[in-house]
Amino acid sequence: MNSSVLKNWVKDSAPRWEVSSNASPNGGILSALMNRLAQVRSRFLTHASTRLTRAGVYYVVILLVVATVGVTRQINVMLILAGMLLGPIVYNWRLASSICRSVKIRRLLPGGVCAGDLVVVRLEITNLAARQAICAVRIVDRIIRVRPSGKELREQVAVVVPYLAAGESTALTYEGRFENRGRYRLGPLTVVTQFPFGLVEKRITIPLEDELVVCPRLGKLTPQWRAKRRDPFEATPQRSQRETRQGEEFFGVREWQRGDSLRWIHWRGSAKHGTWVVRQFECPKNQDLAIILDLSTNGIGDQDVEYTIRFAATALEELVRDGGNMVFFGLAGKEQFWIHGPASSSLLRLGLEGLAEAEPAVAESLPDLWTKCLAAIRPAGEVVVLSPRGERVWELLRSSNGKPGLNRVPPSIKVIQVPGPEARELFVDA
Amino acid sequence: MGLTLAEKVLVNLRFGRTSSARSPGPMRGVAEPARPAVIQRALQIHVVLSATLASTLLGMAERSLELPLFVLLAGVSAFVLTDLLRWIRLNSTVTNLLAGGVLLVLLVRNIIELRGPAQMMGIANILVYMQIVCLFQEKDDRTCWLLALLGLLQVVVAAALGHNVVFAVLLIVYLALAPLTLGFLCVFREVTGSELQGRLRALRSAVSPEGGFRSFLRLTEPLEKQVVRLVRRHVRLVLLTTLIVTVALFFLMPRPRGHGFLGFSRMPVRSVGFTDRVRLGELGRIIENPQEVLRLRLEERSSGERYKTQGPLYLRGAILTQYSRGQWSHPGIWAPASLWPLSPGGSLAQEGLVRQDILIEPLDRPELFCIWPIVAEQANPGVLLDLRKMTLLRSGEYLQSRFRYRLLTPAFHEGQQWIVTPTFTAGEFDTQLRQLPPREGPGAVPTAFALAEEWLRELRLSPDDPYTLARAFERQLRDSGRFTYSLQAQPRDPNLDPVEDFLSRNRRGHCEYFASALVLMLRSVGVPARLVIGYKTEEFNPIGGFYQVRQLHAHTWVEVYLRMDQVPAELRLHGPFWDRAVGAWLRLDPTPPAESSLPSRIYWAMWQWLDWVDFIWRHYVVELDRTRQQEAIYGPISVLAARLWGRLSNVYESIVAAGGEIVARVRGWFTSPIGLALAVLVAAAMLLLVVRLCTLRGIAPWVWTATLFVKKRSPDQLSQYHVTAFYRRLERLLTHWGIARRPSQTPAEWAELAARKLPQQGFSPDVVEVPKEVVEAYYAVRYGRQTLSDEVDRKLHARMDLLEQSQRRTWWSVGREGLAPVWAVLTSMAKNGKRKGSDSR
Repeated sequence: MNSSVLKNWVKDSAPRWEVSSNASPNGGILSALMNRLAQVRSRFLTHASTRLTRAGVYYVVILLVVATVGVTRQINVMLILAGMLLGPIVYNWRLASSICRSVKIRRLLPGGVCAGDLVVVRLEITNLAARQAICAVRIVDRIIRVRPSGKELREQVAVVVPYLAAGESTALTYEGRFENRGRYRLGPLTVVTQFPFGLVEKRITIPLEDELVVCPRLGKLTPQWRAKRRDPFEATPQRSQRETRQGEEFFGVREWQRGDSLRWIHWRGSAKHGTWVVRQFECPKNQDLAIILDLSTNGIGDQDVEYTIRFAATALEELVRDGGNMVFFGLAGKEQFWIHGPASSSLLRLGLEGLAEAEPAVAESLPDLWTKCLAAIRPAGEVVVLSPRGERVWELLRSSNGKPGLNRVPPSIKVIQVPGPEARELFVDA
Repeated sequence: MGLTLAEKVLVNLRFGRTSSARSPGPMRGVAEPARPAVIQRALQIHVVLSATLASTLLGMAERSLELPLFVLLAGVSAFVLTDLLRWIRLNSTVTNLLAGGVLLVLLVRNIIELRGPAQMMGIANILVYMQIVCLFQEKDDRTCWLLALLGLLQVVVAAALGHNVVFAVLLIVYLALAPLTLGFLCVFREVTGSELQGRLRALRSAVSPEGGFRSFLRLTEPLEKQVVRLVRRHVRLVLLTTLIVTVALFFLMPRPRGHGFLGFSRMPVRSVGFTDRVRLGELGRIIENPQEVLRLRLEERSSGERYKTQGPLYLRGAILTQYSRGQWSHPGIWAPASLWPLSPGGSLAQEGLVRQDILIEPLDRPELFCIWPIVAEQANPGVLLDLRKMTLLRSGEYLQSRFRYRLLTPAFHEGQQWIVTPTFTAGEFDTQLRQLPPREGPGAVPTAFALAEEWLRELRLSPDDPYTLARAFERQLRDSGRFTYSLQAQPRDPNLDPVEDFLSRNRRGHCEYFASALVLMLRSVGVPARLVIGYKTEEFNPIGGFYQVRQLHAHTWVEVYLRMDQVPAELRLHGPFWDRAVGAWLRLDPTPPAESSLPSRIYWAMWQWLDWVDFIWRHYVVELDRTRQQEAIYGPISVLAARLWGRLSNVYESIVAAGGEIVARVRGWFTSPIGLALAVLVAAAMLLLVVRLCTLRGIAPWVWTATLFVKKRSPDQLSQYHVTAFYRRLERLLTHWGIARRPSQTPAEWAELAARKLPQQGFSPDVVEVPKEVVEAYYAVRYGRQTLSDEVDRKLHARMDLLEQSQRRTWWSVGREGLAPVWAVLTSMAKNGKRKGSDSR
């Protein structure tokens, strides 16, 4: 069952979490190929433009006047002056172009960013020129929110390289806070310089783009959360515990993570899933735990959606922190998302990234998710449903329980209406 | 090259202690926004300097010293009070009001009162006043740019007007300062602009929680100094390059047809030494003005070479004959002028004519100066002859620009200007030349009569010998010591005629008094005489080969009319002028030499060099037209090219002649089959040698060949190249030996495998460890970020050489061992064959 679950989530979420699999050996090759492709693309798609600055326009006008008067009146001194004025502007153009071409930039992004955290983006700038130092180069980075849709953010940040000797590198940073969750695209980068005379501006756009997922802001669960969670679950049958206690034997497979031994690789599973999976020997302490977030309701306000998502993110983080459980996390929103596996940091990361892009659904998708949840968790698992619909959710869940093949011990279900008085007792928003 | 001393002092004065007190560490700008102190100070200094220099250039063009001094004072004050002490900082409102007021008032005045070139200068002056106002603003990027722009506009106006060599030197200095200012401004704007942007973002993020990204600039003083040095380096480069390219283009660019230099009309030079009338006592102290008036080049007419002269040259301007109460004038001054264009004369066939090539500055008077008598060799547009006054005049349209005219003169004999000039008009009947002042009453000059009679008696002179008499009177005035030359204003009795006062009371005066006294005394004894005003110069520039005439050379002298029979025989010459002459003018100069001390030799030499450079500048740059370009540039170049081509042709022909036989032999040799085969073999050997060299160096042949033509790699690229080079060489060696690295193998595993396999293949133990050594070095460089030194690189290659040689020996030994049995069989067979042969015999 575990391998099938893994297969499911890999299949469902693999396209969306492809970025997160960079550390795997297979992903390494893929990422190398992608990087190479990006390099080739950037080589051909680098956009460059040259323009006169305002000072340059005045300068050129004066230059034209001097040249015209010098030619028409045959004033040789003015002809010489025109020539001498022409030199700096040509030199400015050539040097600015040369400087822009010799700049190589690499962007380093922090990981595990939540909304409200201070984000420090580091730009490593290298001067590729053999002899020419660069000076007064402005690098403009763009920040655009890609998802969720409807919340526009377009920001530009400029960092200035005052001086960089030939062949040397330096690192510059800019910082700020993402106040909202979501998927942000950083880039493309624009290298701008007017050096040395400020008459001509050369601008090169480097299509170096990165994506940064800003997870929802985490709040704090009150002690009542733990108490409320135990109450109904303690009354459930203990049969499952007996079934699952198998010591340190093979328990399941999961995705390969950095630090895993190569001996743990499950070769057959890896071949089947197309990615590296490892065997897991840990035995879960207790039963399966599931959190289902219901966003498939029309008419829910933005603030309520954000509150619900933050609640779910905090609850997921709490479950993972407790550890030892098999966790199912599902999201019934515009795009259905679910993940199942042992409580781990990677599961938390994937769950939070799913929440970062969550959007309310237009159509009802909770029953389908509930079916998947019942198929995934073992009997007598614990299920927490966070829904703005409150008790009305029961109807939907009951109808789904009657499907063929699911006739077994129903899990213990706790439905919390979010937002609501009960939610406010359990969760303190940050 | 670092900051200048002044900049260092100023930076330390203002920012050194305060910045260290504010920021303890070397990095400023994280805790608080960075201010580029060094760059800002450099910018302020250069803004003030370029503004002052621009105004100086404009002042030079306007011939006004007040304007540059005023701007210099304002610049220094602004730098101290506004930039350093920050006591006075005009805000934008005050600045706009002041600048707008200045603009309005001066513009209105300029439009109403001024006309022509003065109007243009008036507008240029408005720029200066606006610049002064802006200097007292805080020097942000906008103000600095405005000041730079105003300065540039002033320089443009100045370039249209000022054209001497000092102007050119200062212009070059400005053209170095202005890009420096722009460079510092560019960096300053970029640095402070980003800071401002960061502040705005921070402000916006306070209002709107989203976004608010900002960057901080790390600026240290050494970094700023690096920037300053870099800007200076670029400016040096661009200035030098641009100067060379501009000069080359300027001289080589074909000029349009027509007359060359036109230039803008400008304020003519006021002639302080020369007027068309003389009023004695009018001038106070005469200031010896070194302002140049004209340049005179004397050439042999036939050869065009410089005509060498001795003694001073007298260039006649105007003739004055009428004297009344201290004032000399021409009787026809109020009559309409009789002007005729100067047409080529008929005495051109005469020998000994000297060409006067004269370049005269724009003056406020139309008189032209030259050595008389004159013959027009060619049409001189703009030159008119006033037949009534016998003077040359310049047309009105040429008054306000530099003017050049060429005339011939016969007035030289053996390098000396004639003292007696023949004339075709009979002056003895001219009553004006004999006009006497009254003996009594107002304006009377009785002393002139008395003194003349006294000298006649004393020196036993006769009026019938006017030549001797005139020369004696001249000597009395000049050499007797009773009269003193002085440029100082002398106290004169207003009730007396100035000449009377000069002769009777105060015998000190300048050339006008001496000349006037001589004319009146000569007339008193019946000798016709007249006053001549013009220039007398002895200032010859040997470097440029020209005479320089300045304002201080203005002079007055006397001419006496002699009948031909009164001219001494030793002074008479032969020629068309002398043969047809009815009389002659004897030139007399009664003015004693000035008592001024001579300038030092160094000063004089410098002065002459400056004059020469100025002449070159004017001759080849300012006034370069099509004709002169043809003469000075294209002509020599074409001659040089033709000469060079001729020499090359000769060399080629001689080589062909000498080497024809050799070439024929070589060609024949190559056409033979043996020679061709040998050439192919040599080429193949060369190719193999290149390939072998490349193999030894561990790089591909085409890469090695490319390195011969491609520029040197950067250190970073070179280190990468080394990394790949030595490791790839090992890969090639081992692959050739059958120990290729599989994709699943790490280099270390591969090296271990090689260490196991190499002994099996007969390699000596000392080279077995080579792969491991190379791979260790490869790891250290590739992953350990260590730098591969040249020594290590050489050692690695030496080890691999050893491995390769060992490999080669192994091949040879293997081959020898493998072939040994075969060889043994063959030798035994041979022995058996011999034995059988001997047996059969």
